[in-house]
Amino acid sequence: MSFINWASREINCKIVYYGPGLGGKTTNLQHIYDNTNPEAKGRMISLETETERTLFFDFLPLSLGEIRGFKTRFHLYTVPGQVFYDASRKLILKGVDGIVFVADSQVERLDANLESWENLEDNLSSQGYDFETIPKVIQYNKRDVKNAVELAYLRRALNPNLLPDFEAVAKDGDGVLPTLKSVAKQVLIHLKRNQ
Amino acid sequence: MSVLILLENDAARLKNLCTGLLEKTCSQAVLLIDRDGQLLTWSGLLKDFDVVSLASLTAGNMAATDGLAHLLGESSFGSIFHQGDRESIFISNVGRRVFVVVIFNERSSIALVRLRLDETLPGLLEIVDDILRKSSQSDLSSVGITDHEIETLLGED
Ligand SMILES: Nc1nc2c(ncn2[C@@H]2O[C@H](COP(=O)(O)OP(=O)(O)OP(=O)(O)O)[C@@H](O)[C@H]2O)c(=O)[nH]1
Ligand SMILES: [Mg+2]
Repeated sequence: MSFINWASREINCKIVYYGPGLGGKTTNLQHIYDNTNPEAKGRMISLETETERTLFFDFLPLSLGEIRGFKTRFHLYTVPGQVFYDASRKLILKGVDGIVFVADSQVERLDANLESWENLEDNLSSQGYDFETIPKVIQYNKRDVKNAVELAYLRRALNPNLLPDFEAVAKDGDGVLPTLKSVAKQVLIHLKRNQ
Repeated sequence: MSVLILLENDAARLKNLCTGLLEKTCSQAVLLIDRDGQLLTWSGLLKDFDVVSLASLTAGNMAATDGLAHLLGESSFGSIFHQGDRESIFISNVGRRVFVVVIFNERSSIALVRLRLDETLPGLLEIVDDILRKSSQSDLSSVGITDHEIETLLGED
């Protein structure tokens, strides 16, 4: 849920990176953290397992500049992608304003992508969100791998509604910032329209 | 989903109550945080303390605790207490959308914090309810942002 604070002149929004385990959600946040000015970001928090899998969430607060004297602040979260952490995913989704779905381009992860997308729909709907209208962007990550599924095929499978989508190699940072800007923009436009 | 809007005078009213609680409990800090991890206001705290991280982690803590409560058939546990060697944290619901965090050390005690919080809670709740009611009625148009300004900030696709 967006939060407009007139006392500190801030517009705060919550963006959640969703997608199958090992798809590269945490890598997206890490790249953003590593490539933004110190003044624009807060500390990145990662609640992870011994093996660096997300256990509860990653969190990164980030400013993307001012509009009309209001700072736009985005709280970026990732969920744990592993299937059995579903209870945690539901908690992280509460109050979300926009979704980045990080898909894994590797051919053997095609089913995992689809399952995660359905899981997202279930979890949002069960919290009273209208799945069709909440701002979403899709990122096809790991475009660098040898066994990457053809883009056209991934699109047909994951993005029949032609949401904004981006190819990415998150581990090199490619496509990470365009994905973020796109979702941030949609969130602000949605916030404005919905009033 | 709805938007939470905090106006300047409501922020000042909340801050006043937080400062009052801070003084009466001899604590280090009092923070009011929304369930999604947004910081409404706070009082006290040391220089350079990372309030944004604290807000996000306590919100996650409250969310996980609520999840546990539901598993046991409770609607909520109402409060959480973490006791450290020097610093302790007490977290309590202020209605369903907001919670208050009190950070204290050996100058205070959990009994004192609970007592003073019980006294302050009705006042806090009244303001929070008022804010939620106003939020449901007002909107972003008061900020007056245009699509063009959003495009300028975040660029074309
Ligand atoms: N080849 C390749 N590997 C990547 C890319 N992006 C991330 N990885 C690797 O994939 C692995 C998993 O990345 P994470 O960011 O931890 O994945 P995650 O989605 O956060 O996983 P969970 O926390 O379990 O949900 C790491 O070893 C990354 O280095 C990419 O674009 N290409
Ligand atoms: Mg992760």
